[in-house]
Amino acid sequence: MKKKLLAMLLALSVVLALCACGDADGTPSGSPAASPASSPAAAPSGEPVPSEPTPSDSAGLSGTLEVWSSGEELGRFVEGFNQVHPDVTVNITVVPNADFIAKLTPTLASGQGAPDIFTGESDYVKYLVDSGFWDDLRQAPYSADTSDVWDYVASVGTDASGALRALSWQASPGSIMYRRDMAKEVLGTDDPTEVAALLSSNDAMLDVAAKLKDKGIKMFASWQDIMNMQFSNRAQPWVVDDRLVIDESMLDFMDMAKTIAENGYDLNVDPWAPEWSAAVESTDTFCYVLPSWGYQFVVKPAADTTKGQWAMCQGSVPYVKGGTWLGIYKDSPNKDLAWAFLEYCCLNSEAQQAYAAEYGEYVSLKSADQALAAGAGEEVLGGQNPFAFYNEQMEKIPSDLMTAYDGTINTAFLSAAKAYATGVLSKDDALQQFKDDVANAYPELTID
Amino acid sequence: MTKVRRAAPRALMYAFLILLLLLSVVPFYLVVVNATHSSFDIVTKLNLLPGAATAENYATMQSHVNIWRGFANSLLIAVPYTAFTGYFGALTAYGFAKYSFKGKNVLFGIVLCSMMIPSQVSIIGFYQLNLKLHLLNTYWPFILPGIANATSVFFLRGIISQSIPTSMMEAARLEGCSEFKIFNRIVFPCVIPGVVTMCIFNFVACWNNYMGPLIIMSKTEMYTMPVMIAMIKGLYLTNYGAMYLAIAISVVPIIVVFCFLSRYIINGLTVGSDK
Repeated sequence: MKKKLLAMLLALSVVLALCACGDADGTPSGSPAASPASSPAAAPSGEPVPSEPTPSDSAGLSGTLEVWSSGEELGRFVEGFNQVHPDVTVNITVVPNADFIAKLTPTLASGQGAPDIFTGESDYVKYLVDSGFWDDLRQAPYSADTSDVWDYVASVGTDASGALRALSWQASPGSIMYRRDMAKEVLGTDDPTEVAALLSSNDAMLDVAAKLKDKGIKMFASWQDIMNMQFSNRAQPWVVDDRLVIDESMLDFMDMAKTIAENGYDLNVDPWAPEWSAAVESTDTFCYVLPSWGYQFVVKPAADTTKGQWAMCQGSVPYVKGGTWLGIYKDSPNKDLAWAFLEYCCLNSEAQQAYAAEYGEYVSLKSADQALAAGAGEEVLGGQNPFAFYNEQMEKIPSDLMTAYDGTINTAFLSAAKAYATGVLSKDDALQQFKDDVANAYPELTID
Repeated sequence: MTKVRRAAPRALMYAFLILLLLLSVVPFYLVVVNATHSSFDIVTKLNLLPGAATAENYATMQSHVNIWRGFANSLLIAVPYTAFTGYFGALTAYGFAKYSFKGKNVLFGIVLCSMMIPSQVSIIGFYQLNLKLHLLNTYWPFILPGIANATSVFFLRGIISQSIPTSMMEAARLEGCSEFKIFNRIVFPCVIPGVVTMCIFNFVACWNNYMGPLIIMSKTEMYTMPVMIAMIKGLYLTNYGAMYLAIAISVVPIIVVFCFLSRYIINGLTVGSDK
């Protein structure tokens, strides 16, 4: 009996191997997603193989579009997109963000099985922009017009040669989200402009933190949130001409972090820790230093008894952090479909307005954000309109200092700053650890 | 009086055992209990009693992923894989343990070496191999390697060479039993406890495999449990309640497999004694 079973199994594996080899000759296999790039013949038979994509001719598009996304949010556009293009099936595969590059690397390395569109989250989008796997969206057949896109969004999607590789439907300007009731009690005002004036520099922020501490209130949920804001103070990005640059402002930030940690101006937890999330409803935490998505995902959903007690203002510098960009794979056989979808998400003002109105997310087109700024304010924010606030911020943000190395270097710097702030390492040792970590991750960089 | 004196150390012993039991059960208990609470409750307090948010968590979880599909996918991979590692692992180990042939040590060395390559190193090769074999988006890349599981071979070779006397095989040969039958009828049943031990390890490893399915599967509905659990987390959201619920569901088969298979280990330990 067992002998027969074994024989069957062996036979099965041999047959399988033979089937697999047979497919290599170009016979369409049962898995069309496996090789759209290498063999256009394997595409579903109903779909004409586009020899020359004609994206301007938007009517009558049909086929299947494969999209890999690092978040589910992109899927919210599909319904609206299908009202315009009912014959296009959009298959979105959501890949956990932390392992998105790990999933992408083998596919891009072999050049086969890649999706038509894949996303890039802000931590690694520059790496993908520079890698050359995305088509230039300003060239034919796309000829993207980015006049309505916030400059920052387009500039992140632009590589060193000036080619536009990716666009986003989001923009994520920064803010300080603070409690009105505590501001009134300690600072004597809850007006965003007046509070912003009291927080206009790092020193001013620490002064306010000291005042709050006297009343038993912790200024920040976590000092680590402030790092994204401090990046705006830099004169240069992390890497210039393959050389690691540690800007003076980053050293100042390490001292600021130490001051906050030593004086207990924050909850002494990491961002996203349970205590950090719970601080939305606390009686002793003043503010979160978070970009626009922080309102949508952290403050708004958790605010219950504190509804109406929140407001947004600018901190010491305007900043941006986060966002997910979309690009079209250079060897995609469905470039016309891919462009139709990308254009709908990233360049269609009406689509973005509908999306932003429904989900409260700040979007990448100026016209859409301006239309929403005219609407009513948010209940949680005591009537403040976040779009109006963020529109002002977008006008002020400094030029884009993102590099392909940011995700890893930011993490390494944060861990060094943490070691210094908590007194584990001296400043010099912490900086040395940071440099070692960077050298380890990117041996090609020069480090002084 | 004497009764009390005798009872005291016994009570101490039980107290100690209960402590150990708590240490190993409490984490699981907390996972299950947290699965019934809302995210907000989970982050703000320690929950010891079941809450009322199970249905809500379930709805959140299902709105992100179809967990039962992931559950079925994982079972579909883990069960045949585990069976393969057990049977073929023992078969290969038997060959290495009991037969003498040219190049045996070299071959065994190669098997050992293959254990020492971290899977991360070979991940691109693994992808390309499956691409060329047209096995992307199928379950085969995770089931078939069960036929050649180096750890099982290494572990079972030790057991077979120690616990199976060569005289047993010789006796079977004298009776006219074929070589393959010797393995199936005599050797394999004798090493069941070892096979079962390996099967538990292999099942857990396969059930928890995250990177492999993530790279091979490009269809959300073919994802396995660990990938689905990672998806619930989302990019900016923290749905602790839904995640706990998904984890609680994913732990169940491991406990079932362990309870079911551990009987064989305990039975097996006494087998040798009545020789």
